[in-house]
Amino acid sequence: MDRRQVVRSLAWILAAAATEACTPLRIVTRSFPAEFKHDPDLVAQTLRAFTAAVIPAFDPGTTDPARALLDRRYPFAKYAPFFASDLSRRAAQRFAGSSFASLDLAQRTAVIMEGLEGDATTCKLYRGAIFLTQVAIYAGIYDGDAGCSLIEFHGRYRGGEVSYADPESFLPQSLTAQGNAA
Amino acid sequence: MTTRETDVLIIGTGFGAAAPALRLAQAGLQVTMIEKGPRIDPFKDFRQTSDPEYILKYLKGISSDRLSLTYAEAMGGGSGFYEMVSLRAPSIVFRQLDETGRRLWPAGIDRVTLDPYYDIAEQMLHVHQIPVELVPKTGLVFAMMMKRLGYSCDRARYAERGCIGSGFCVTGCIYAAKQSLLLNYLPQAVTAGATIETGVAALRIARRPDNRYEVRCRQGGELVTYRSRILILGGGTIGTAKLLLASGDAMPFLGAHVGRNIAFNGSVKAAALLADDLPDGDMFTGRTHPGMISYQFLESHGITISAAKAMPLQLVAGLRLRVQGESRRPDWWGAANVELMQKCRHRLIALYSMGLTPPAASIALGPDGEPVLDLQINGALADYRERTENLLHSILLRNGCRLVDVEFVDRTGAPREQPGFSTAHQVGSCRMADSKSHGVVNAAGEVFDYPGLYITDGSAIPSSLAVNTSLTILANAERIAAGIVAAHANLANATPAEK
Repeated sequence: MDRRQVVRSLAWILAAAATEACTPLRIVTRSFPAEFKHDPDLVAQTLRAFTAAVIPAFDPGTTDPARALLDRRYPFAKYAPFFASDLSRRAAQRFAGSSFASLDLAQRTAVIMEGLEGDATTCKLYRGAIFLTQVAIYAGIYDGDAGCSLIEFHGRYRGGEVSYADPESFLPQSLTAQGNAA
Repeated sequence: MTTRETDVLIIGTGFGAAAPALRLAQAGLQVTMIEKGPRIDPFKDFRQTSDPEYILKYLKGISSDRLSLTYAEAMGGGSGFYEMVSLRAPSIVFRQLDETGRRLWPAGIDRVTLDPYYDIAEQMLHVHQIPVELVPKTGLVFAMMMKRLGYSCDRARYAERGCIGSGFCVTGCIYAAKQSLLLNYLPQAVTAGATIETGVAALRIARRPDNRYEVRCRQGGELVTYRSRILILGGGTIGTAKLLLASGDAMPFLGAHVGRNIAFNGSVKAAALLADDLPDGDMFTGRTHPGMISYQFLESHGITISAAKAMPLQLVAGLRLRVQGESRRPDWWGAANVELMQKCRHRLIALYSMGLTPPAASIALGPDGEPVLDLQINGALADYRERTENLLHSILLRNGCRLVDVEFVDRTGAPREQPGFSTAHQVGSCRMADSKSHGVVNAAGEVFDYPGLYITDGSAIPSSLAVNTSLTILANAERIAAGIVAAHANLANATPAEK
């Protein structure tokens, strides 16, 4: 966690490339049910159910929690219809024909874990979707003012107490006069 | 193709470039700075946001399996996005030896030599020790933990005027409180006559028969050539090495050290949930660097320790966090992860050490001309990492904290298989040395066998510093700039024909 961190280190800046590696040709070329190719509402509904399983307590309010997964700025969006169909297929196989969106939290979690345990390509796709969802929601990337109330991240600075009232009581001995080591 | 002539061409606008620009312009030389990244207005362009599109506009990264480096490409270099921690390198730094027993720093350069230049740099950046009443909560909690164990801790020093602790140092200070170079060196250099051209990427350097240097650049879709008597490379540890590596066929006497010997300040991190008897920290408010640094283990272990803060974007895009011993599955997403994330703001403490690790990393150019990073972690480096991590864990555990596993992830969100390092404190890719057999530039910052070609940025710094690198890079650049001014005083008064 340097600055750049962690930042630094800030491997954080890799967020935009979050799903870069989720691009195997076989996903592009693999056929999947037509309804997921042609029904964006079905895709979005499935992806919203997915995000609700990744971050269960999140209340999206009026925002779309699946926005990042469908955002064309990120490579994942190209695979979103296939991903939604894969969630649906696994849900149907595992839970007697149920749609993914109709499952309860434990059932959705089981479906996602199954995807993560799949072959390397499938695992990458599921991992990338979770990663992008976490980045988008926890960091509040679409609304700098709102942040993410779930984790008390209030977006931009709004004032408030920075330090404690009795800071001296926290401090141990210092080794230097002005902060620079000899 | 356009050709532009100038007395001094400076590549870059960051900590290594700004001081020579100002001092040489003040000396009466015609100075042109070129910057690959975009121009920044420090009063208008910074934002308090986690929008990757904004952040990636300025911050770049390069990674290998074992090492991740972050750097800025923007006017002002990293200064717009640093944590504004401004500490002098401790004396022990200058006594570091390589594996053969040779001192890493050139003869005659040590803390005493640099102190007058640190003075100048601190004055320019308004560096001062943080007042105790402004130490962020996280820093105070860290200090209390050290105090409980009988260890020392010092208030750190920062380059700021009027900081209110908004917590967005690393996305650029919208209050212009953080002293980036955009507020001092660069405007003063312009006032002294320097020009700054942004969006100009240097591609290749050559030395002409008349001993001037020629730099081929791309500006937008056009090729532009700059010619200068003095050429100063200040594009940073990655940028400068990349440029020289790309210029190898036209610069045959550069030697074998370009791109090698990269030191990375041995950063090791550890995290935990605070014990119930410790007060809350605040991960998201207060200046990004939380105010305190411990030199307790500098002599014994070669490290300094600070607490670390991170915005949510940094936490989730770079790391996978799990409470140690968490038995629920899944643990890195789902309900268990949400519970941990909800504790991040007030109850997560992260410790961060910087250390005197050897200059063991390197870059080379790949087939596409882009730099490829490499770090081989040998036994000593692995031991250092384990020893340091154990020490950080010990501090946390002896304070009753519950450890949190910190796993770094790559750009796909996949955990890295090998333990490694990540930092923005990379230095040394064109290091100073006493001779060409050990480095790229001499103690005066001049490239061996290339008179008039200087390197003033982090790439010239030959060792890890165990503290943030910006102030030392700036002080060293001030030192080299003073030497250039003295060596080329006649140039300022020369006629165009004489130049």
